[in-house]
Amino acid sequence: MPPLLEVVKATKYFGGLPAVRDISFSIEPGELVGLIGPNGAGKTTIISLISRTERLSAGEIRFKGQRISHKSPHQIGRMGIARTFQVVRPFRSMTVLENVAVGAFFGADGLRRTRSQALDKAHDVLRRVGLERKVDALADALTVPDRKRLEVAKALAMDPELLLLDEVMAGLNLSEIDEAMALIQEVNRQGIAVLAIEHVMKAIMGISQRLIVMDHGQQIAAGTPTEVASNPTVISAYLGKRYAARAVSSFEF
Amino acid sequence: MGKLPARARRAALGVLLLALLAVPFATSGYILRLLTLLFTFAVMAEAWNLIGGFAGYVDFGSVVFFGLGGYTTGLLMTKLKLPFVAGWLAGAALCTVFAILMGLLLLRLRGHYFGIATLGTSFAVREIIANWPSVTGGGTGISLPIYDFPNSVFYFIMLGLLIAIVGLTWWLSRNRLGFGLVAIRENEQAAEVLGVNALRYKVTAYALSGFFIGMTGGAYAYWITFIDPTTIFDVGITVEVIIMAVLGGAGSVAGPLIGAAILTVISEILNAYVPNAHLTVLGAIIVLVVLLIPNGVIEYLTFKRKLSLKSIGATLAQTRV
Repeated sequence: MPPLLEVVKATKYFGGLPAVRDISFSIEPGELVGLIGPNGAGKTTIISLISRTERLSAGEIRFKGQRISHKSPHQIGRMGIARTFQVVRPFRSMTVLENVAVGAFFGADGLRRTRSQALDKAHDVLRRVGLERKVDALADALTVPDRKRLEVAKALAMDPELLLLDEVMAGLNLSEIDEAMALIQEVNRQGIAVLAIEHVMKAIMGISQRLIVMDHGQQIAAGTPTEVASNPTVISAYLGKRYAARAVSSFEF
Repeated sequence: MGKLPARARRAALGVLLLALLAVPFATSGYILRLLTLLFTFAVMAEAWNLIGGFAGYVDFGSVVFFGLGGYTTGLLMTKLKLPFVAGWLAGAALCTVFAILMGLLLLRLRGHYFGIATLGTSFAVREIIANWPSVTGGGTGISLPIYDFPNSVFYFIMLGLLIAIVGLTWWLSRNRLGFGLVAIRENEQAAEVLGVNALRYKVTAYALSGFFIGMTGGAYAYWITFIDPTTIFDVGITVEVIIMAVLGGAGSVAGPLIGAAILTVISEILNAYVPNAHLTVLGAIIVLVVLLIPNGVIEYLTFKRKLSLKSIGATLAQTRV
């Protein structure tokens, strides 16, 4: 069986500037993979390339063995890849329930759902992410952590096989981060593969089975969280070369 | 219609419909003509609302479908001696096809560019018709055959179209198509990522809009019996339709209809009492409405907001200049 997702020598230029260069990795069904790296490393671009909100300059992306790099975003979404946006994008004039119903109406099996089936599905997902008491609130009226939940709920309503999360923990406080971690792990336990970009190291280290580290558009390391944490290249990318030399043995994120 | 229970609402709607059906038997002349005109504009405002209100793509060229529907009906009736219904349906079909073709091209444009492109299209089509006298009669226009049935037929046609489009809009607002369109309006890329085929949905809304405005134009032409390019492709019609939809509440089901009723009545009163200042006063009203109730009158009618100085002040405070 081919991997769930294969990224093969993905390259993206913005103007003449390479944002992502020759990145290759794959994700197996049900895996939880963290994608980390300093600001501007090209992490979000990777997610945009997979969901095709940006086009590849070179390389190829395959989903369940099928090339998807030429498909449009809505086709990719319906095939089973859902994503969230770093800056959340709620449909502001809709209620929380209606927002999630869009995912249920248009996701994997969405086109076969009737109105009441889509709304049931949306209720179901909102219960899973802990927003069941806000179903009738306008998306605009939610707090920051609830907006992040909504963003995840919209994606989950599509019944994805692969969920791409772009910094769902950014802007959350410590207890909210714990809740977000629990949510991501819960989603993953239900068999959904997750590729998560995160800046909160403690969180992403704690939940990822595998990490991919990027810097300046290139992959600089990959492996289990412990392997990555002790990798000198990774430490110097984050903290500079001088610090890396001192800290390599005893580094803690 | 917010707080009323469903049964009371249905009863009220039924009574209103019966009253509207009875109007032609109770009155004729001025009131009948005014209501027919009101429905004509209400259908167009509702049709504009599908693309401009739901999908959020502000169409500044709606009148192109009005003109094309009218001209197709007129030309088929005069040149080919076809019966009205044949010309009428052919006009609506042409408008639908035209909307699909234009939509596939123009609905890739975002924001103001779509508005400018549709405005340009309506000017271009008007010029083609005005400058092709061998086929269209050119700038002098065409006279349609005089009908030998009572005026009230047009009242019923427009009322029927209005019921159809309000029903369609109500259905759509609760189903996949409406969810897709509103998602596109609120954030097109987020909608696409969720699986919404944005271009197809926008083209569908635009085609429905074109179909209904085309139907209106065809019936209007036969009613008026004379059309020429300047009057039936008048950009003022587009503007009036947009104002009605926004005044009532763009993106809502009944808003455009309410806006059409308000604007038609105000216009009529101003025309009667202050004909010279008609446009000035109307302009001032529009400015105030856009400033004070930007989401349309419907917000107050559905009890989503209470009409008070406080709520109006809050709106003003939030207005981004």
